[in-house]
Amino acid sequence: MTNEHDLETSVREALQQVSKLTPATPDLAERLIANASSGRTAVVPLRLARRFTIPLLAAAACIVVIVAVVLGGEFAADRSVDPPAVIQPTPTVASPTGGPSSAAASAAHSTSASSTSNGSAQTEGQGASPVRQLPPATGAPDGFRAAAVNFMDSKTGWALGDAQCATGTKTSCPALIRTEDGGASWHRLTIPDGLSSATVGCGAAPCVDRVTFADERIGYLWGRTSMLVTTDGGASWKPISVSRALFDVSVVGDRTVRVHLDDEGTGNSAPSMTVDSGPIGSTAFTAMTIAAAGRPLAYESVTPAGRTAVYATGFDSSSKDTSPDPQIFRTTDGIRWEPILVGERCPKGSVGARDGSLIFDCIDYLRVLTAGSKSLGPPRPVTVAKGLTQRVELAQSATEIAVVAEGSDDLGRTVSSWYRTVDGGVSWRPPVKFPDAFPIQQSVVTTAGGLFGISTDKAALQFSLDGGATWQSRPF
Amino acid sequence: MSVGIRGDVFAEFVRQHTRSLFSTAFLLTGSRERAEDLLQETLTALYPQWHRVEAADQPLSYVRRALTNRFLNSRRSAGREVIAWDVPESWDGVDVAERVAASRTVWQLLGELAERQRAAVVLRYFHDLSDEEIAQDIGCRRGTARSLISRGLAAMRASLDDRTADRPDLGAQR
Repeated sequence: MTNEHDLETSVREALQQVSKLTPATPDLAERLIANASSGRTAVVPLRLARRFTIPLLAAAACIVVIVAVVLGGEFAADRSVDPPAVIQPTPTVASPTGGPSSAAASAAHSTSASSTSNGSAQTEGQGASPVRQLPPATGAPDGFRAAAVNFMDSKTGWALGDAQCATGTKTSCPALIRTEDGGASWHRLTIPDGLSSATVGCGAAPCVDRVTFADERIGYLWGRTSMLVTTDGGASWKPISVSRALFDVSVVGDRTVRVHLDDEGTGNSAPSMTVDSGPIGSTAFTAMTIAAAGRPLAYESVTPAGRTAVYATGFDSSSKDTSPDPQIFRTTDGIRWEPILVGERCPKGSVGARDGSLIFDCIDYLRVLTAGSKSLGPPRPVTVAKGLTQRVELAQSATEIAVVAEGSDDLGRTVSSWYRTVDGGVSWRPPVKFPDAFPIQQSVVTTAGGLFGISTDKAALQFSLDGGATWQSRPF
Repeated sequence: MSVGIRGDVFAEFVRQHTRSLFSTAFLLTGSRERAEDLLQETLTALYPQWHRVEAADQPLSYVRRALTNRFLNSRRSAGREVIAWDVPESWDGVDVAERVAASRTVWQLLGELAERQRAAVVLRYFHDLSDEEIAQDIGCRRGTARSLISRGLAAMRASLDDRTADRPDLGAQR
């Protein structure tokens, strides 16, 4: 471990060695199988199970037989007045795994409607999905599967993905489509030849898998190592130099802000992130740096907040304190960072709101930094159903925030819920429950009046026009 | 337990992947007993809906993700407690191999990380997952996953520096 790179190598070697030196015991698989199928949640050695469980079961069986013989007459006499069968209560959510997709949660669960603080009805039951299926859209190329969507408002948006290169073929080609009616119909825009497939994965460069439009004319297609810009609504595209791995592209004011990450090989070097910006539509970018007390800081995170602000947190890479509270900066012009405050270190980072506010996701609570403010709001508890793992999914403003909570119920079925506050976390509306994992693959795109995302199979646009109370799914 | 479970398929999966999943669980928990229980809890929770696992693009990734989340959730609900960090038995004796000594140190440093940092480091350096995959597995954003790894390694580096300052003999491992 003579240098930074060696630490990564050493970690790899250590993990491999530990794994080899601590193998699973030979009978572990069989114990896991036996215990899982019997519902036991802790590993019980088979031999112990056999030693104690079988005699106990035998003894219990004997007792049951004896009791039945002795009391049989009474039971027989009582059968004629047996009460009606009692409906068992539905299982409660208590055993989280936060697992990946799916598991139909309970057709057995009841469905009920409750009144929210603004009087609208929300579906609370697990049986009915709040996702309404719509007829397929028109105009999208055959076999289109989206990698990313970007919407300006509830009507105008773009989707970047793959489609069949020609009708009837199995080969996929990148495709960019645009809608002006909220996804009911699409038309295809021209993009340069030679781009790699966006949804299959970026193999050969150039590859793009994200789309960001500043307005109807100026937009970017970008991926880890490539970036293209159009200034004529997609009629033509120009390449933009990408010297470091591209992580994010956002628009603030009249500038475009790019976030870069180092390659994997230098992952443990502290200043792993850089930021630059340039006029919207330009191919030239200038580095942006953050500093405190005259000393340059390393970027720890960069978070766009609508089109009015970008936030950055930084830390002193030479400090021995590895978990200092982050210094928070804000830019509203895409040129200069303004130090705002020293914030709280929250495990899940922060989410930018459309109005330029910043929401800190501290798991059990959130804190709001309102646009233009230099002070952090008080902690606001985020209370979700027991056992679910929550994350702040999006924020429309400092007050209108949504949390997705996912986990498993007692039977291991994946469940998810959408929690929403309209007063900055002071109170929360009844959750909208999904009979499955949250159905959107990537972060929800927020616009004025609409929330947009991609279905987990990438084949449909999922959207909500009522703040997430109900959702609609329309295949491309 | 009766939602179309195909016990043979479940058993086949468990037999095939127990070794890999146990390794992940051990690297996360640092204890054989806790690793076995974590794996058991995960499989027990998934068993009733195993057809969902089968339907996943990558069933092993699906289960590993559930396992990682269960680890993080259980650690969270249990609060921060001091746990014993097992050292593989063959490392207990006097081992003169420098690489083994270095790995032993790294392993101990890993045990000092916060759970989420450790999970991110294990997923990156044991499973070679991308930022996006790690973010999905532990339920955070890409940037946060990247930050967890970076800060985890920085913490290990700082701790290593402190140990070296206290015990110059450890410098040989560096």
